[in-house]
Amino acid sequence: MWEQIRSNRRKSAILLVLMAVLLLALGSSLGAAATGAPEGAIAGAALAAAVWLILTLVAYAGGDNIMLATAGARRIEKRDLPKLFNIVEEMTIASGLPVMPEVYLIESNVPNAFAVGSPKRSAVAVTTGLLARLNRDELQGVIAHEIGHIRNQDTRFIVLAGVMVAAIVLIADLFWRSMAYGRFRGGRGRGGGQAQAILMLVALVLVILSPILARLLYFACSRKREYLADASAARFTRYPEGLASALEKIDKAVLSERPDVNRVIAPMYIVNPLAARGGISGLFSTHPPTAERIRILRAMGKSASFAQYEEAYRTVSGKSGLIGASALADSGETPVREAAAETEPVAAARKREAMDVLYRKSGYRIAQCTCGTRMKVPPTHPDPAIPCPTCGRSVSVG
Amino acid sequence: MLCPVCLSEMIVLEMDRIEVDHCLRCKGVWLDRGELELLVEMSGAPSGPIRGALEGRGRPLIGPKRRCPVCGVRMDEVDVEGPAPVVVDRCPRRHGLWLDEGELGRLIESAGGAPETEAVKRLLGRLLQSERGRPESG
Ligand SMILES: [Zn+2]
Ligand SMILES: [Zn+2]
Ligand SMILES: [Zn+2]
Repeated sequence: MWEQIRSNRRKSAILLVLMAVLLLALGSSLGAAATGAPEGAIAGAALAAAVWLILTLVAYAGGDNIMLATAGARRIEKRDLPKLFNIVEEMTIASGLPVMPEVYLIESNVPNAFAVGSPKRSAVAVTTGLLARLNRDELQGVIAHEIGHIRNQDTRFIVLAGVMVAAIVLIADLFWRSMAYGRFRGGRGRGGGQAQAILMLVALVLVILSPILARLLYFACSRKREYLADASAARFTRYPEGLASALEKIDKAVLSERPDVNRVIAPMYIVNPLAARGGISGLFSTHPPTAERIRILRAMGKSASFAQYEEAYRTVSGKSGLIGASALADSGETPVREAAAETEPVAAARKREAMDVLYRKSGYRIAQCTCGTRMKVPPTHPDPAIPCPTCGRSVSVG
Repeated sequence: MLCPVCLSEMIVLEMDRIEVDHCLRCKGVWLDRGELELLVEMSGAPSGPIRGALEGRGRPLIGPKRRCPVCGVRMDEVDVEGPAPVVVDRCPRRHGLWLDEGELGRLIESAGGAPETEAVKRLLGRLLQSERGRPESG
């Protein structure tokens, strides 16, 4: 696995350099086209670099928190949801992560999860819909997949590359806006003539192509990381069926739900909520088709080792070379365990448990009427007692 | 969440593990899509006219605008089919249905035996009974 991560890191570095070249080319051609002078190219490149630098600094300083805040995630403690915390603890140990990730909860019916940060400081976020729909084995599979991303350093790469894509898209967007104001049209009366017309053409081609190219590079790299996180999850849990079954449920629910998701965060989720709807596919998808990921996990049979995942990957996709040779050799015997035997609470009970955590965090007071109705009263209702709407009794909500 | 009619904050009622948002002032009920799905799933009933209304084609709402308490988008209105169709407000992004005080009663009366509506009746009927049972004030 380690050489795989190293090779991934090398590929990521190449990818980031390619993106930087694209960004500078875009900036300089736009600068030259706008001014009709060679100094314009330098100014344009400098401006593009500045945009990128600012975005990167912002991402480094608070990127993880911005991601979590944009997703509306709330940090929770062990006492809030001990069962979820137990799973995160287990998977932290199984993965050898030095520090346990912080745990965040998002209010959303769409079942999904994502991770941010680096192995030393990270967080996993899950939605209330995920907790409602998955049993313990499935939830463990999803958490293991997210911890796999943290362990393989995917989370950091996604932020860095995502910022680069954002900078390119932002600059291309600025160009279209200034086009609308006529800034680029006549070259402001300076007789640039043919040379400027050619520069203009080059700039136009770059403006159209670079956002597409940047996304293409980004997505090509992140798909392989999804498979590797799945392979990690299978090994950490020793139960590939848990993740397979979770992916099946998530994919089905994501398809039927309307995505309320921000486009920046969408690729970070375990199943991309935007791509699952069929809008993006093939080269443009950050994730491999979920059906294929499920088929690979289910083709693993009795072993949960990396070698077994590689084998299943080859059988299902017809490709090979996913996992490095040393990991394949030293992963040893990893027999698949039995399914966890437990009486699972129903989906509604799991959803209430998760939602009540969020209500309490938002300052709601929860009271039970003797008629069976539970009342959750927002902090804006200061009254110490409220008449129960289903039976009329006065219920104190201290 | 804010009541789309009087903009006061609603309280949440949990009955049989299903939640509805209820405005203490105007007695309206917000039926969230996720909760509706949970209810249908738990009762084992197939989707019926209420889920149909949520997904159906809406008409623009006449009168003062009402906004979806989840996303703030202007709601439209849809029919819940049945022996006596009831018009309710709906978030065009399908976040849920808004039932005014009278609409809740009519919806439950026209349950019409559809398993989905029966499940909603069992859940929300209590809200209505208490209104009927209470002495009329003023
Ligand atoms: Zn009561
Ligand atoms: Zn109201
Ligand atoms: Zn809405």
